[in-house]
Order: sequence, then structure tokens, then C-alpha cells
Amino acid sequence: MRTSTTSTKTTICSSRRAVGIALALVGLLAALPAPAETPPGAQQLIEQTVTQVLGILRDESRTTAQRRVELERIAHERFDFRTMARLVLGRDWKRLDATERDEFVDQFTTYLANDYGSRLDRYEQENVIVEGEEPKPRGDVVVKTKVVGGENDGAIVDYRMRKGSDGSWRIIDVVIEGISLVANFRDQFREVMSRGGPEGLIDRLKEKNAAVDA
Amino acid sequence: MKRPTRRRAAPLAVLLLCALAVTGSARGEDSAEADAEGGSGSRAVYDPWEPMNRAIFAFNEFADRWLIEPIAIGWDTVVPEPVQHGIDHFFQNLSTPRRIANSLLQGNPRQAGSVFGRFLINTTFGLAGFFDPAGDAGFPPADEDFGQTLGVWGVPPGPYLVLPVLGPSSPRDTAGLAVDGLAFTPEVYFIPFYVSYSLTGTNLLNSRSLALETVRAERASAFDFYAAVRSAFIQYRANQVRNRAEDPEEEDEDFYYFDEDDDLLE
Repeated sequence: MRTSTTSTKTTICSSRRAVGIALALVGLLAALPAPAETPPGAQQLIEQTVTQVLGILRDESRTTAQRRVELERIAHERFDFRTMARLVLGRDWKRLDATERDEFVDQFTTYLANDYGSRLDRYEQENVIVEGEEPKPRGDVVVKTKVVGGENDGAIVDYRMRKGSDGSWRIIDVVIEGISLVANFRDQFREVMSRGGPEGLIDRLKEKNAAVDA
Repeated sequence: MKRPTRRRAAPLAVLLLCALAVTGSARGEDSAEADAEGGSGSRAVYDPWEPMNRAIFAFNEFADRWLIEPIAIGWDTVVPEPVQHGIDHFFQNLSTPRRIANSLLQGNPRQAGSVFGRFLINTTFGLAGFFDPAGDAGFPPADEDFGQTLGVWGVPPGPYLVLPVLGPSSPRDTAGLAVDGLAFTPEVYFIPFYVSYSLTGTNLLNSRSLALETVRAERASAFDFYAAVRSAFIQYRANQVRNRAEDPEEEDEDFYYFDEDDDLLE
């Protein structure tokens, strides 16, 4: 993916991992209808989500469109898109007023759903193993998973999770082989905003999202 | 035997230039990180050569769209996918010396042993490496190169650098590439240069073919493809080095938190 020529060994490797990105995101678009009792721990939540998402992907009776609707619903439960959007903008978040912020969060969420939704057909019966969780100093938890089988066999995918005010864990970043989704978009959006400001960025997002609907 | 020696003088020159660049650039790095274009530590983007890099990147993109990708599509049409994977395994097997040498240089003899075991199994039962029974049995390929070795030894990558045709790199990784090519690719000293060129060409073409779909998807989804590639490359390499280092640099926690006054507008 990454370079035009994709020719150094490293690059090739990182491109495979990027396929991993696609897959992990397939995995990432996952979540579970939260059970009512005690809220599950971060790792448990990822385990349930993986099981549920793989179930949907493997169910031949569903059409791609149906799968997408279900996975999107799950994604909205499992991801904290607002926090992700904020982290993606970093200090540039301050440059947006309240309306722009809401608009940005909306458009960015739609963009992620479209982008990863469009890659669902590429699922090739990979499995995902949840390997454990690692607490971070300020309360976040990183749940570590590994892709098994397929072209991205062995790819390491980490989900960074944060406990919301409602007490449930939500995903705030997906890190594939060390490549953070949030960091990747931050670098891109910084470039876009340095040229067109917040309006420019929101317009670009709308443009991309509209192109998908058309 | 004369020819290969001569053509290998060029990479050596590149290596020396890069070594100079590394020492020259390491000094500027702290201030660049303090400048903190929205991140520090392993996620920091340090790209003082951006105008030049963007120009080379644009050239690479152009060459890919009009030459390399079309050829790769042709290859992909003619060569069945399982064969492409076989070829990929073959080249991976061929690069065993690089993997073993760098595992050792990084102080990981156990991994070196595992890679050697892989090589024996795949060369014999895997029919000269076209199949990967060792991988199926749980011996991962351990993708080590000299750029990573330098990183494990504490050499910083230096500024982001886009190489013509070869793509994303850094002075450190370019030097690493040269050392791997010179020292840890022994077959080039035993086979005629045109065979080794053909092999390299086949490997690159086959790899590009396997990446067709991914590249297409990433290009389509990116907002700034140059920035997307740069960010992914820098993070990926930092991660490869961090995994091996004895005292890994802690990932940047601040990256995941906002400034307090951000909340005012909530």
C-alpha cells in the first residue's frame, strides 16, 4: 500500500501489515450488545466482540450489506468515536468551534464506517486470538490480539480502551504492528488543516463521504 | 566475479553518505521533537526534507501508476495466486542470512537458531523454500534487517527520507539496506550479476503484485497519501526496533490525553 513502488523489504512488510490494518479493522468494527449485569472488563469485551464479529463475517446467509449494518451498530457501541476524533485532531481540536466539532465527529465516524465497511469482502477466514491486557499508567488498558491465518498471519493488533463515565470500556485507538490509527489520521489531518483550516478538513471529509454514497 | 564487485561500490558510497547524514542530523532531532508537531517519542514525525521527499514520492507514484503497477497487474493475471505466494516464500527463504546475521547482532541467538531451523525445514520439505511448512509449524520468519539492528544499538533513524523507487526510508535504514545488500546477501557473490538482478526484479514485481489491492485501497482512502505512508512507516519501524530493544522506550502516553483547557468548549 504504502509506497508507490512498495519495493524495499521493509515497505513490503509494512504494506502487508496494512492489509492487516484492514483486517484488524474488520475485527475492530466489532462489539457486543452489552450484558446488563456487572460491566465486563476490557479484555472480556474484546473477546466477546471478536466472537460476535467473526460470527457475522462467517455467516454466509447474510449479504455484505446486512453484515455492514450489523457491524456498524456494534462499532457504535464499542468505539468512543468522539474521543477518537478529538485525539486525531490533537491540539488542532482547539481550532474548531462547538458546531465544527460536532460536525467533524459525525463526518469522521461516517468516514471510518465507509472505509472499513468497504473492506469487509476481503475477509478470508482469519481468526483472532485475544492474548491479554496491559494496564497503562493513567487508567487506560491495552488489549492485545493476534491475527491467525490468512495473509496477515501473526499480525499483532492492540486495542486501546478507556472507561467512560457510564463505567463501560470503549475503544479509543487501534494499533496494528505498532501503527496507530489515531496517529496516522493525525498526521494526515494536520497536513489538510494546515492548508485549509477546520472548514477545509470538514469539507474534505464530506467530499469523501459523498463520493461513497453516490 | 569482477562485475558484482564493481556494482557494489555504489551502495558503499551511499552508505558512507548516509552515515554522514545520520551523524549530521542526530543533533537537530531534539529541537525538532520539542517543536512537537502533535506528538513526541516514537510517534513523532520528523521530516525536515519534506519538499524533497514529496517530490521523490510524487515521482515514485508516477512511476508506479504508469509502469510498475501495470506490469504487476499483468503478472497478477498470468501467475496464479498460490504460485505468487510460493515465490514470495522462496525469496523469504533466500533472505535467511540477513535474518540470522541481524538476529545475532541484536543479541538474540535463540531467534537466529529458530530462523536457521526454518531455513533447513523449508529448503528441504518446503521444496527449496516455495512452501512454508516451518511457518505452519509455528516458526515465524523474524524479519530482521540491519536498519533495525542499528536501531537496537541506539542509532536514531534520523529524518524521514523517501528513496527513488525504493520508497520510505531514513538515513539509518538506508545504511542498513546497503549493509544487508553487501554483507548479508551472499548469493550475489556466487551467481552472475544478471541472474541476481533478475531475481531482485522478480521479487519486487511479485511483491508489488501481492500488494495490488492494498495499495489501491490505501490510495483511495487516504486524505494525504504522502502523510499516511510517512506516519505508517515511521511508526512501524519504531515498533520493530522497540520490540527488540533491551530497554524499550516507553510509548508516548501524552499522545492519548488532551490538554485541560480543551474541555472549555465541551
